[in-house]
Amino acid sequence: MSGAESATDVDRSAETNRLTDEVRRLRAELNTSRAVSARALARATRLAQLVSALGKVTGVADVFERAVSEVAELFDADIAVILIPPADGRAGVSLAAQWGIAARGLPPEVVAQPADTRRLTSVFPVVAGPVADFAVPEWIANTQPRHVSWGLLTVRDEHLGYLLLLRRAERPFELADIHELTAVVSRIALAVDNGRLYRRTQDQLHRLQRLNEVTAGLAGVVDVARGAQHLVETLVADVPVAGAAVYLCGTHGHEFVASAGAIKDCPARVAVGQVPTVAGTVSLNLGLEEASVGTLLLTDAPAPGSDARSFLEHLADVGGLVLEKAVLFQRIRAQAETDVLTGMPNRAHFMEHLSSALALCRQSGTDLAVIFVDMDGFKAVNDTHGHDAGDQLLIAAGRRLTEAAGPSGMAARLGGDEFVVACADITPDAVRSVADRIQRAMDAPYLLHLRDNAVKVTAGGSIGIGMARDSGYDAALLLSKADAAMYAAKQHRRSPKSPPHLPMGRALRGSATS
Amino acid sequence: MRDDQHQSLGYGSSTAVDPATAAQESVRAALSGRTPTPADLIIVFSTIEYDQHHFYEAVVQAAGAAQVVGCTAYSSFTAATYVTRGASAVYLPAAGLTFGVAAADSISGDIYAAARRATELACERAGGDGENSVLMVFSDGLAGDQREVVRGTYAVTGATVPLVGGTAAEDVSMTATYQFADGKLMSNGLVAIWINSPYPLGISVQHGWHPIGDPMVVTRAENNIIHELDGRRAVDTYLSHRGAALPMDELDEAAGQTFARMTFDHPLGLANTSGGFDGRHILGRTLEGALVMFGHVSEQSVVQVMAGDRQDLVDAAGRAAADAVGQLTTPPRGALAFSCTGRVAPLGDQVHTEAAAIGAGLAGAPFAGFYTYGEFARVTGSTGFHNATVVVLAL
Repeated sequence: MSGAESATDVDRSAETNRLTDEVRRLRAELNTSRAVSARALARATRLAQLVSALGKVTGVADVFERAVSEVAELFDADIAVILIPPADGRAGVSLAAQWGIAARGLPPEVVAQPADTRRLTSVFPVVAGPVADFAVPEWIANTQPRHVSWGLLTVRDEHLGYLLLLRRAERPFELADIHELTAVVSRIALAVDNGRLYRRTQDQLHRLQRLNEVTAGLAGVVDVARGAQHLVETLVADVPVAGAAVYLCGTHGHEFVASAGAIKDCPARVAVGQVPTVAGTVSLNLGLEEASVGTLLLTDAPAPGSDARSFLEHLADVGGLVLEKAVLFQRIRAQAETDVLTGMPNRAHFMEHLSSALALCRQSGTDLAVIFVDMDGFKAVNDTHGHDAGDQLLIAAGRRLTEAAGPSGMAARLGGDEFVVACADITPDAVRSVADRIQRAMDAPYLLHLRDNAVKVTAGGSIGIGMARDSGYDAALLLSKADAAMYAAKQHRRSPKSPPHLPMGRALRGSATS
Repeated sequence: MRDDQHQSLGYGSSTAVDPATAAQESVRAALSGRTPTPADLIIVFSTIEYDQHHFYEAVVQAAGAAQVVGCTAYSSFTAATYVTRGASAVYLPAAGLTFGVAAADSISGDIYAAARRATELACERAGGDGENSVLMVFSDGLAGDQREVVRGTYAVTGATVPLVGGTAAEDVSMTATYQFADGKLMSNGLVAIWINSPYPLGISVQHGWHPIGDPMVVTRAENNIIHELDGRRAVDTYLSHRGAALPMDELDEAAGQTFARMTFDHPLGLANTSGGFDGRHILGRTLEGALVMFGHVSEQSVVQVMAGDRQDLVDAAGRAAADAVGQLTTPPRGALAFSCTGRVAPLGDQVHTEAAAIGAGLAGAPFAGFYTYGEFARVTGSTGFHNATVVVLAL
């Protein structure tokens, strides 16, 4: 190798080294430039990433959960914690969500408010720095943080809680981080506020739907007891209240109708002019104030002004209307089914009852008796002592008939001085025993009060019996047979030579005397 | 010296076609004549060709009293060799370490809950956490959003216990991977190994990839699915930015998961505030033109297509090893390495140089590892799932 060649090789080698160094320098510059670019890109979009992530959840708890993991990742923190005031109003703060603290290292349910949070204001909602600048509680110190950032979650001057970020690496929070964290805490607070609004709207919507369902359910209820029971159960389940009771106004004061849940010692009746009260309850009018149909007693009712209270009052209004309608319906039905003079079931009610009872007896293969009673001396009393006396006689006869028929028999006034008794599931022998009892009751003298004095009268009755099995379980035929038997009995009374016993008929003589 | 030898990590490998033979050869080589105790751990990485039942039966037999864990890999490596098809085994004598092993199967239904449950059990079996605990995880790489694995484990470990590991892989057919622990073979499972150590362990993650093309904003995404990039179908935007065009005739056929194989060399990178990029490989695409990723990608994040120069990737592997060893306070007993399958294509026929670089970074300490469908590494910060990286655990 010549000296010239050697020199050339040296030059080439030097040039190669120079170029290699240059490439290395350029690559380093390129890498630095890429790092700056990456950092800038990541920072430029991390707030948008957080907003996007928080936009995917609606519940407040979900917002907190999502926020801690997202913020920790976006801000390269090892630990993120959100502390909020305890729900039960106790002093201190409780953990709403956390990222990076193992279960074994979690603080108790409620801890003292960390002193550093008092440095936060609405104007300066973020403070950050090395851990030495902070008075971190032990449960935070155990995670061995090197850098700490506290943020205040505040919306419309309401402090919702605090965001704590911890970095365990030697990587301080920069000014850019602090500026962005100011926006972050604001966004989290806004998401929480939106979450609360969403929840409230959802609750209201749910209550409205429930109110519609309850109204629809109650609209068809015409039975007072069932309507009242439905109302109190709905109040306990949906408002909710701990217990509820319904009292309805009547001629004798307030009467207990129904209760549900935790409400005790409800009096059965409250005198006129008094309002039902039970210890530990609040009362609400059912229906309009000036025309209240009754009173609602409630335990643990929601506070006035709350959404739940508003829902309760709506339900009370609906309940009042429904119960008012049911009471009215009950009165109208009672009027339609009752004989005005005697208070007994009238012909229409009796026939309806008879049809149902016959259907049941036919199904069960049992028999049913109809006892037809026609007063013998009514006309004489009416003509002799006047209509008032006649009315008194009818009322008294109806009462005796009802008593004699017993709890299993249904006594009714068909009209005029005609009465009828239906006895279901009965044998011919048993019905004769009932008829005898009725006969004795009808034969006993009546004391009638006239304008100036009282008179004692006897006004017996003629009785005829019809049996369902003999009548093919036909109501009209059955009534007709009983009527015919009664007529035969009446004939026998008038003409004792006629046969004393027509089929199932017995004659019992009656007369009017003064 | 004798003690050092007994306590050091042992490795072995086999390329035998028969699974039982491969299991026995690799484990015996790792044991190197040592008799394992119940406190020791055997870790195996095998390629998908083996009948996994036969393979693990033989591993358990060869491992004697030691606990056995493992998973399938794209390929594996040791300090001595790169194993394209075959098995690698690691023998980790307890020697002061405590291993708590637990498994969860059928994790895709609720990855978070499965990861949390397995980690809790592993911690309990290790006797609770210690001064220098580390959690190592092997999960099914095809299970879904692997960030949920990190979230589930983080709920138990907290920030003070580092996470390391890799997701089980296969031959990029994207069909099924396998995991083994607790005597159970799983194909949609997760293995958690809680390690308690008397001294600090070292963990490092590096990748060496660089961004190409323009930044793109993820305008619509849901968990690990990117629907839109820059307001357009994600697949279209990705393809227009990736530089090296894909053969269109093949691309048309590349429905679903074979798309992953074609895009491994150009993952997406998410810019992070540390000035780096977190890689995300593509698991597949949907008929609607969305990209299915191996891990979560946040909406409104900025991504760039990444490319890897061979030397940059190799250098990064060396840095990861050196960094991990640098965190130790005692001489290294060995290391485990988890490298991304996506690195194989850019490394080409020089793929073995990555293992060599790791070995150089470890200054001669024994090591073994496998190529994954995603790596776990979290020491500080909250990002724990990675793609396209090399993760090294130095013991």
